[in-house]
Amino acid sequence: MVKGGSIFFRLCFLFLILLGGVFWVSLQGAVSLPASKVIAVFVNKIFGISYLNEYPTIVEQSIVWDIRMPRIVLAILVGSALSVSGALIQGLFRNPLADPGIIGVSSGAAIGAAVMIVLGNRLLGSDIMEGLGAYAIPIASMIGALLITFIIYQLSALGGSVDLISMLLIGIAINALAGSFLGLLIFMASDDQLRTLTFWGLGSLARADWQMILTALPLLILPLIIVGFLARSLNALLLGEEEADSLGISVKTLKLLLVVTTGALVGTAVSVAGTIGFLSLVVPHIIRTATGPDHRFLIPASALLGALLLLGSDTLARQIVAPAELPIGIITALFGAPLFLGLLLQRKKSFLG
Amino acid sequence: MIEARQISLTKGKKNILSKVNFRAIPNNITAIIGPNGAGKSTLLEVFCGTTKSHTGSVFIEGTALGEWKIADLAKIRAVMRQSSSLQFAFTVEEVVLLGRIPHFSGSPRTIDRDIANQTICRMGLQELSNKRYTILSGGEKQRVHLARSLAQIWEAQQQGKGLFLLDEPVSHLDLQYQHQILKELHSLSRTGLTIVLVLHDWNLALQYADQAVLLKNGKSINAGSCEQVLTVDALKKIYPIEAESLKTPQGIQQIFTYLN
Repeated sequence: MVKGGSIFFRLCFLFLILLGGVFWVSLQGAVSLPASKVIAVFVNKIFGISYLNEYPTIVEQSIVWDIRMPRIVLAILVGSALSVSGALIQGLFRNPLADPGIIGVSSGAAIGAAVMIVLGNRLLGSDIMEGLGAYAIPIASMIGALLITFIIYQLSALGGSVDLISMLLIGIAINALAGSFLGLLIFMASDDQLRTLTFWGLGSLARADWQMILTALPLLILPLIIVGFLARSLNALLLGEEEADSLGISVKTLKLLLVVTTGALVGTAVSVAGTIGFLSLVVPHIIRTATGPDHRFLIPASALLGALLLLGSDTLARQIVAPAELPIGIITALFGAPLFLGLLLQRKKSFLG
Repeated sequence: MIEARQISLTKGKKNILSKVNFRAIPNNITAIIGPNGAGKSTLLEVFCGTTKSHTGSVFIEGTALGEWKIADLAKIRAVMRQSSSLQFAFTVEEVVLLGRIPHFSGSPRTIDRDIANQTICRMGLQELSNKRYTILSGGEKQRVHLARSLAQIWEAQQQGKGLFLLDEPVSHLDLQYQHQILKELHSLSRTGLTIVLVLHDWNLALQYADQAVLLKNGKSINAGSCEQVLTVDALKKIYPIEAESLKTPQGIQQIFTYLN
C-alpha cells in the first residue's frame, strides 16, 4: 500500500493542478477579462477586500462570480461525484469495468428525474411538490439510482460472485428499459417539460447557478464524507465478500453504505447535469494504472482528477464551437468509449474462456 | 484450537450435516475428507461463520463462536478459499498487507509492514513482492494468500492460538504446487497453528496431515490419526473402486486406486 506521507503529497499535487485549472478556466469566456481583474473579484467575494484602483465593474463581477464560477464549481462537484461513484461501484462489484452509465445506474437516475418532472404533480400533488421545492428532482433521481444499483447487484450476484458478462448484459437490459420508459415520458410531456427532459440525454453544465449548487452540495458532500471512512473495508472487499468477512469487516453494512452513497452521488449528479458517460470508468482507471487500486488513495484522487477532467471537458465543450456549445457527454464519450473498448479487448481472453 | 459438538444442518429436507463432532488442536493439520456432497465444505463454512443455520455448538479457543466479536475473531482466525476473485492489480506486498486489516484502523502501521514482510519472506515471495498480483501464476497466487492469512493471525500464532481454515487449497494447482503448498502448511502447523483443511486427495492427506475426519452423507464416520482413518478398507467402503496399499520411501502409507 502507498505510504501515508506519499499519499498526502500526491493529493496535494493534484489539488494544486486543480486550483490552477480553476483559475485558468475562470479567464476563459466570451468576454475577455484580464487576470488581475478576475483575481480582484475572487479576493473581494471571498475575503471582502477591494484593492484595485480600477475596480471591476458590476457587470465584470457578475460575469466572473455569477456566470463562470457556478459552472466551474458545478463541474468540480459533478466530476468528483461521478468519478468517486465509479470507484465505489467498481469496488462493490469487484470489477474494474463496472460503470454507473454502462450498467444502468445513471439511466435509473434519469428515469427518477423524468418521472418527477412529468408526473410529479399528478403523483404527489402540488402541496408535496412545493414542500420538496428544488430537492424534488435530486431526490427522485437518487431514488432511481439507488433502486437500480440494488437491483443490478441482486441480479448479478446470484450464485455468489459477480461476473462481467452478466453485469454487462443486465446493464444492456436496464438501459434499454430506461430508454423506452424515457421515450414514453417524452411522449406524455408538455412542451415545457420536454425542454427540461432533452437536457438529460447527453448532459450539460449550462444550467449552473448558485441556487442549484447550494441544493446539490449537501447531497454530494455527505456521501463523500461517509465514503472517506470506507477505504480500508473496500480494499478488503476486493478479495471477495467471504474473505472480507473473515477479515472482520461487516460486509452487509458495507454493501448497504456503498449502494446508498453511490445512489446519492449518481442521482444528485444526474439531476443537476444530466447523464455524463464514461467519466466514472475512465478516472478510477487512470488512477489505478498510475498508483494501484488502494482505495485510501483511489477515492480522493478520483475526486480530484474527475473534477479536473470534467472542468476541462466542459471548457472544451464551450469553446470548440463557440458561441454555440457542445453537450459535454459528447466530449466524455469521445475519450471514454475507446478506452472502455480497449479494456474489454484486453479482457476478451478472460471472458471467452 | 477448535471444537464442534453435534453439528447438524438441513437445507430443505436434505440433511447436509448430522451430529458431527469435530476437534482440531495446535501444531497439527486436521484434514476433512470425504466424497463430493459429503458436507466437507459446509462443515468448514460453519467454522468460518458464513453459515449460521446449523444447530450444535462450535468453540474457538474455548469460547462459543457466537460470543466472539467479529473483529476479535479476525485476529486469530484466517480463512483461505480455493481461489480468490481478486481482479485488481494490487502488488503482492499490498495483498499481504490486506491480511493486517483487522489490526489497524486507517493506514497500516510500521509493525504491520514488518509482519507482512516477514510472511512474504517465509513464503519465498521476496522477489515478487513489488510485482502486480494479477500477473502471477495460480500457485504463486495461492502462496500470496498463504502469506496474507499468516500475516492476519501472526500474533495469535506466536501465542499458540491461531486457527487457519482452508477449503481445498490445492485442488486447482498442478502437482508441484500441490506438494509445495501442503509442505509449507505442514511446517507452518508446527509453529503453534491449528490448521483445518478440506482435502479431496487421500494420499496428500496421508503425506501432510496429522488427523483426519472422514465424512459421508453428512455424518462423521471416523476420526483419528490419518493412518488409522484413511485406510484401504475405509476407502473401499466409501467409493465403489478397488485399492491397494503402498508405501513411500519414507514409509508413509499411500493408496493406489483402480477400477475392476
